[in-house]
Amino acid sequence: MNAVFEAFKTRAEAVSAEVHRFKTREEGLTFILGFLKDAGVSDAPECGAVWAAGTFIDGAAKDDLKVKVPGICFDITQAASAASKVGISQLDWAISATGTLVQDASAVDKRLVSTLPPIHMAVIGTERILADMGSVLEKLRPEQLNYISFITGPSRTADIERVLTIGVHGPERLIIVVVDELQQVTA
Amino acid sequence: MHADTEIKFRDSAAKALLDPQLRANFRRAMDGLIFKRKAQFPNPRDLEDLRDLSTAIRSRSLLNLPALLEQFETQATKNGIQVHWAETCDQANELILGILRSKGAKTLVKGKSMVSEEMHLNAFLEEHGIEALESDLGEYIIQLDGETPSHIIMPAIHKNKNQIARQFSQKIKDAKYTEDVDELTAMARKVLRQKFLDADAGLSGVNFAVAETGTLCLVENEGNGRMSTHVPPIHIAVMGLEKVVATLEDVAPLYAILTRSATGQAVSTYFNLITAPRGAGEKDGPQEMHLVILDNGRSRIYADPQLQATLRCIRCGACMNHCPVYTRVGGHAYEAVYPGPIGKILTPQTEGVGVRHDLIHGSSLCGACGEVCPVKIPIPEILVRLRREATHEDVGSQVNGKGTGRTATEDWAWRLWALANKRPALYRVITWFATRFGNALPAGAPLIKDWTRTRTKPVPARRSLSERVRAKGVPHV
Ligand code: SF4
Repeated sequence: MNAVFEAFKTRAEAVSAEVHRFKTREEGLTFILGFLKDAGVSDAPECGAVWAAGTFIDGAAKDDLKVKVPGICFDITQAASAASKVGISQLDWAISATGTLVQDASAVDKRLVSTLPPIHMAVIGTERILADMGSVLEKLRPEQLNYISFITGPSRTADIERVLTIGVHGPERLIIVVVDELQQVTA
Repeated sequence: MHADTEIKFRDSAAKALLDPQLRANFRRAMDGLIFKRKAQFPNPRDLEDLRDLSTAIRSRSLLNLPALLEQFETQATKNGIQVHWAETCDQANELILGILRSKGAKTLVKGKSMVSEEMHLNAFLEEHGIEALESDLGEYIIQLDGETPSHIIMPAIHKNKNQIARQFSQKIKDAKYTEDVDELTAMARKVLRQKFLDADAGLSGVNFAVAETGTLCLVENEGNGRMSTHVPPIHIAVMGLEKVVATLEDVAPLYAILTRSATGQAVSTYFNLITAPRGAGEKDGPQEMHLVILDNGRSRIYADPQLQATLRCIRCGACMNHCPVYTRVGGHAYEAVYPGPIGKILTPQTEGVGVRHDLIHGSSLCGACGEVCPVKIPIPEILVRLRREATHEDVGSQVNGKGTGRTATEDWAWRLWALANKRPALYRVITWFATRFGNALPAGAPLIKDWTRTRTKPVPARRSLSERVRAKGVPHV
């Protein structure tokens, strides 16, 4: 698993994503909360964080989290996402060959939190990293899913003089939080 | 029959060559793209394998195209996508206008779509009081100036950052002058973000359509494609009818070769598989999804076994990046929606080989395009075929405007040629004159002027071959 993770990390970092790995869910959560605080997330306007549902967060005491970092919102709408600084969502699979994250984004809130805020934090279990796109397409089938997103790094463009620019319409930072002890149900 | 004055490409190319800024912009950008593509294929063997596979997938898809389209329509309809067919661009435009009107939509925000450029959708909608706003950064830049794309992947590549800085400071409200690319991008983002949130409908293109599942695949880097497809309440997708493939397994290799050939990326930032509109009980996302499938001459191309290869194209742009003509004159000189080598074979087939014979001849047939094309479209061979089609009315050929590209001068020249070659006495007289006086003809003389403009005037031998042979006493000559 370590080799697969390392390959994923190298690839993801090559396209400007930031990758952090934690052993337990608790450690991952602490990191995220710390990050939100440092990023200045608060209940002031335009400073919130939207957090989409997923096994990582579903069991947590959400009210406590809201006390620890005011500004976290679990009730996701387009307006809330557009007005937030950070969007957090759980991803379903990852691809080590290209540093790609894959999401069953049938639930539109997952799309909103990963597109509209300037920072996207993506949580994923270590054992969900697969070799290539083919392996992922065996697991996620569009017959059952309305929308599948493949995300590789933050939003980018090279439309002006081919100068690479990060953060056009989508997020300018993609922070991937990989957690070893995270049970994910197969989507 | 065509007047000789109608050769547009020659004139616009000549004009473009006089613009050193334009040439520098293209040279720099294309060199970068060539280099990045090459870096993605360190092993030529792997590249060839992937090209073979991709070519096979696209050929097979075309072979079964009618059945795949039917299967796709059934599946997509089952998923809740409303499928519409348009034979012409006018019909497609009317269809989209109808959808927007029925919902009372006043603003449409667009992700990148070359088919919508083909339809001139923006102008059509503006005429009917609907604002159509491009959201791809490159498309947005050219829309501000009312220009057309100069490259199918990088629409604003003809401009440098100073030109864009000037343009933004004049056209965007409260914008300051800056040449910092990050700041320019941020300005566009700010304007467009608000437009996204306010838009009544979103439009996107389609890279691949999967028949088996009724899924639309969308490749992009900026995130505007994702936003166009799920932020506004209606999503309209447009595609050419050739875009369909059988299964999802077909998509993986095509996607791999598309991004590598286009921008030299192993994968794009976003790759979206869109199968259905908003699910039951969801608060956001498009309530309605429409797909407009455009023909615009493609069926006619499809009917010809050789020309059908044109439809394999996955619109990567590699042929233009490597084209010695395109890299020097840029995209606008072609005066066509699709510039470069693919445009040279596609445009004459849709608009007529007679009207666009300028494009068919605007090639040195060096073969670079065919060599880099990920789906091995034999562009040079097709160009040669179209050159013939432009001047011949062969039975059985379905080519649009066949035989209408003849010019009076050319016609007469060939008639004289035929006459001279059928009559040995006449041939001898002509060669006698050519060998004695051919040299005295100035390079700028009418008729030979066009030939000598970019070539050295040929120097005739002092005696013709038959004269020399006869002088040697060879019998029966
Ligand atoms: S013709 Fe080939 S190289 Fe040119 S855009 Fe199409 S697929 Fe790419």
